[in-house]
Amino acid sequence: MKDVKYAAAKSFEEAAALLADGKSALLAGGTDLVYGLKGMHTPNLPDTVIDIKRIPNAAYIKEEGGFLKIGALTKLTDIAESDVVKKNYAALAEAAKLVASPELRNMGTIGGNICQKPRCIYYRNEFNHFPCARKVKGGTCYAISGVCRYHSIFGGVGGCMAVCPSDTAPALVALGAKIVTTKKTWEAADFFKVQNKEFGTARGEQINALDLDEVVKEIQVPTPAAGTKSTYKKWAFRKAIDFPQVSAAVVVAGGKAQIALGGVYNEPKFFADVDASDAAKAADTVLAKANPLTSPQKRNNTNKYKVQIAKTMVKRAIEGLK
Amino acid sequence: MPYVQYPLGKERTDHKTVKRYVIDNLNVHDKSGKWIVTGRAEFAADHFTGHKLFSAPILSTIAHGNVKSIDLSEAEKIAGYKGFLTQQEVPGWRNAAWDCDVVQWGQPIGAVIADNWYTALRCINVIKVEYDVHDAVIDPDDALEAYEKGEDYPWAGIVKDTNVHSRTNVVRGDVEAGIAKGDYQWDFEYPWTVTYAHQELEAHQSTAWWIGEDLYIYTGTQDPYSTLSSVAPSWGLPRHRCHIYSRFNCGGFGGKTADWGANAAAAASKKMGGYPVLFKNTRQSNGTGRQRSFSMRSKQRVGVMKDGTITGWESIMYCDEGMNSGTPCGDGIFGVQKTWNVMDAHYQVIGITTNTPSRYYWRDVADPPGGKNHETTLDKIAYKLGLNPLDVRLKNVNPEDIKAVEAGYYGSLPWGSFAIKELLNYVADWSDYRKKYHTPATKTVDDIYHNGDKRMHGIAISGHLDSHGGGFAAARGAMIKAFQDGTFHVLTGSARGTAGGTTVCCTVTAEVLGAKDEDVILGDWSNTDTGLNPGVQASSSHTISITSAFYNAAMEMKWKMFNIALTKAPFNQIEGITMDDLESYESVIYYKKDHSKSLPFSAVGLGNNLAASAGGYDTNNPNNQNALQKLLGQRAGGAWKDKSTQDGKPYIKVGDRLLANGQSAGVLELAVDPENGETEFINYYLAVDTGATIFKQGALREIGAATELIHSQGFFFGDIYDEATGADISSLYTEAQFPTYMDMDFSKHHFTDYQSEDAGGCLGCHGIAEPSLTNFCLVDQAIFSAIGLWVDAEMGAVGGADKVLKALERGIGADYEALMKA
Ligand SMILES: Cc1cc2nc3c(=O)[nH]c(=O)nc-3n(C[C@H](O)[C@H](O)[C@H](O)COP(=O)(O)OP(=O)(O)OC[C@H]3O[C@@H](n4cnc5c(N)ncnc54)[C@H](O)[C@@H]3O)c2cc1C
Repeated sequence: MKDVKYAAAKSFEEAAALLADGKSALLAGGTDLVYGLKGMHTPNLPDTVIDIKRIPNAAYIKEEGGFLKIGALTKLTDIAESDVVKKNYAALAEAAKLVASPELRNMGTIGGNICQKPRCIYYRNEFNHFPCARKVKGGTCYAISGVCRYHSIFGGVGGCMAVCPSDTAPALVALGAKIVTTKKTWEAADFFKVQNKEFGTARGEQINALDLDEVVKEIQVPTPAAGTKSTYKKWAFRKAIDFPQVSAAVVVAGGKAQIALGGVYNEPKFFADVDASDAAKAADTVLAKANPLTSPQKRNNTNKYKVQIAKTMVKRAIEGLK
Repeated sequence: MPYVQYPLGKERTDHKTVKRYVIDNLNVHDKSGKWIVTGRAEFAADHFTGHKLFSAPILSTIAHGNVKSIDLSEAEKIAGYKGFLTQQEVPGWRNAAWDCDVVQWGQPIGAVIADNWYTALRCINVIKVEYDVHDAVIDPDDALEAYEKGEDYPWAGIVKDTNVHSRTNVVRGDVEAGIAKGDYQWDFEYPWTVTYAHQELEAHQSTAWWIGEDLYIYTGTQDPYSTLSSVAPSWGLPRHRCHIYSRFNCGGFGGKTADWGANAAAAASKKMGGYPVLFKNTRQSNGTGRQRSFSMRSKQRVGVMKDGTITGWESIMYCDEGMNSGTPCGDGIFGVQKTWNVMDAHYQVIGITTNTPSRYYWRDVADPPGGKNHETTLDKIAYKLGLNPLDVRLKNVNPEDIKAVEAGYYGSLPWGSFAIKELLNYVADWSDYRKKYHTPATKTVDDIYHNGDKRMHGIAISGHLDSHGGGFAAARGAMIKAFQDGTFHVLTGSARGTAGGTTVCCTVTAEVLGAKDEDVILGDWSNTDTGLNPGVQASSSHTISITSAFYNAAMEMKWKMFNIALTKAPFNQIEGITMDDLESYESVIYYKKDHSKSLPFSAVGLGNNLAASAGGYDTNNPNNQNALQKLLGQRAGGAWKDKSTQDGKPYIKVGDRLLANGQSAGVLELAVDPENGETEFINYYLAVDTGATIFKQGALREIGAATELIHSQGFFFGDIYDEATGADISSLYTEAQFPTYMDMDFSKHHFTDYQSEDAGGCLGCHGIAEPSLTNFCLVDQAIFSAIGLWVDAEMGAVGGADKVLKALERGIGADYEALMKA
């Protein structure tokens, strides 16, 4: 386990200030961070962890000023079980409910969920056994010529085929959420832009565009117009606990669907205003540009299956909302 | 449920408390279980808290080559670094036969010793290793091509100057003539099957310390006896100076083969002047170092009559052994050789070594890959002939009077598979198989699955004989410890398994002593210092020999107890009394002629008496042999050689070698969603021939566990290799794919013990889960029945949606049509 120094912040601003050295990381629920510290899978691990769990009044769910506001330290369980989220922002409640297992949802926060690191099997290999492009300058993407069954079907930013593993990310993108940080307010779709120019550094490993000294404070989801319906469908090899291989967050209003796919690209793959009148057609449209990987390996050399599963998920999500 | 209760053998008139060998709902008094759930149990890592050092392995990042240099300079700067063990310092970490240090990615090439396990990991993280890299052989097809074409491929460096060596070749009759005799001659080919690792809940750990020339090790293993046998000579120690304890570390918590971890701890402790050192694997080293099933591909040729009779069968199997040239892949032919009555046959297994993780036993000896290949051939024959796959099996299964055909290890052993016929018929009736059977890709499941979409219905049947373990050759030790209060501890020296062996030992002991069940509980098992010659794996093939040992030990204890009792009132008042005048039931000793004269066990004053015995079938001690015979009465597990009978019952002569065979049959019904490739078990029926079931609750639990394993094999297990490096990058350890009850609907698993007259199983406790595992072939057979397409095993779970969708690209029913045309 990486030997780290410990500090605790009393406010998000203090946490941001402590992050300024560029060699620190926040500790929220710790379900992702500690795993990384133990496995030492990357040379870019932090030297200091800054505990933000003690920041007061940072875990809340409330509707206010046309937004659902969720504090960054809100536990995924609370989001999944919140009546207001379930009623008006079903895609988010369903996504939170499908994250990992009850134990992890009880520990894991929404802030941590949208800031977790990729789950690529090469990237996560202990002791940086596979020094891939995401964590080492000049590294390569092993999935392109190796096992690609879990990887992107839409190509990869900067040649990295690791997918965005967060379940809540597609839901937030489809719902048009904003992410409020200590520096600015992001549109969710921009927030989840992978920074390929930063590959090989801690920032480049992130599944989002945050600066290393930027802290997520709040998630804001615009309250949808009456009649809007949303849902989140997830497909994983294991049903009880597993990251999404494919997921689909679908928001339907006025015959149009906002669709964000998870697990299929480095970022949630967003499709705005898709005609929702014919579910199968909508699914075909969304997946028309999919470009599954085929590696030179003899066995297990493709992730084509994800395209068909994604189509089925989108189709069934739209049908289910009718 | 077929539920035959067998009367006990005649020999067992020596005590009246004889019970039927079927004990329902026995309450198992397992003290250790209580300790585990209340946190009182101490695992290997729990000993010497605050007074030990830690060690962790560093893994090779190449598949084949030599370690040129190891740069420890950065590690040495880390506070808490204590030392480094090279591969050469750990017995067993480098095989003398190899042409190099490294034959597999992820192989341990050294270990760090530090004040803390996390410090050790930090050190590993900064150690730089330079290698001389040799060409590696990752792909078994490449290795095979080199062998077949004599081309200049690299060798894996495991077997001298070749990648391939033939292991098993069984020629029976004239295979060419047999095939020619058939109305049809068909060829089938099967691609590589999946490999599965033995996964434990915990990464392996061993704590070792030395006191002078005595070595002590707490280690996680199911087989402390084998660990002792391998560790003691590694250090030049006589066995009595090497003390292996595996208490609490077995079953799901430990592993089968721990000597390399035990040896690493021993080496580290030696280096630290005997100070205790805990060697612990990382999750990844645990994953890559685990033994797993071998994978197999095969070419088969059959001659078949119109009625389904197989006239000749040739099966050439290629087996990827990984870096373990000792893989028992020859067992891949066991099912086909022993179950089906084909007198003109050629079965061959060719073992191939590659620079990939070690393959070995995986839950089952006549491993699933072979079964899968041959069961699929039976299905294909049935489909091509338009016959029901059940009928093809019934047509070809061995008749009752079959005799051993081949010479040699397996051939000399008895056939014992006629109960397969009963089992197949039984599961077929139970599941309503004949009514539910349909032509592939023609039936949907009745439930409306999604907005009117329907899923395809699949059904398959399979059943065969399977071996589990090579017989009861080993002598096994047993010890019973008596307490002042009249209770007893059973010290089995065997690992804690699901439910079987150890509990049976308690039952046997209680019966012989005439004690209440609850007065005989499991003591400190798995401790070679308290057992004579222990170390059996619970629920596995050696249960017979250990139960016979307990029979002996209990007889000895009873002798001691009765003789002490004779010195106490009221018995000391009876003139001329001997122990033959006493009998015991329910923990009370009675004067046979007058039951008003009695003495409870608790009043005997046994003190801390010990009784011990060795058991086993072919030990030289005639007592042991007799004990087994007595214990089993006229029935015994394992197939019997020449079907001798006594009073019309199977009878095994003392000294006969037994084979722990198991037989089982299953029916699987599943639904396939053609839109997303998802497959769901609808019903899974499994019947396992347990022979005489001693401990029904335990037997059923273990058979139930088999259904979970089959489910897991179908949908969750399956190694994933990076073909460029040979690295096992299975998400089993990097992700979270090890299934739990939340992943499967156990209510769809139906299982039973089946007590046939064919002594294919013994005592309801040996390996009864494992022989049934070959039935996992049902998963792809049932998928074929649903969609008319074979899923390629490739890597990852066979029933995975990725595999099904890949098959579906060929169009529903396409493989079925092609099969019918060819
Ligand atoms: C076995 C397992 C299964 C999992 N399955 C899933 C799954 O199915 N779906 C899924 O989505 N996730 C899954 N996860 C990933 C993840 O751990 C959780 O989803 C969780 O939400 C992370 O939250 P946390 O509070 O524990 O984050 P932490 O581990 O505390 O932090 C994660 C990362 O986010 C950063 N961070 C935390 N809070 C903030 C903040 N406010 N501002 C900026 N950066 C921050 C940390 O520095 C760290 O880099 C799984 C994890 C495990 C171990």
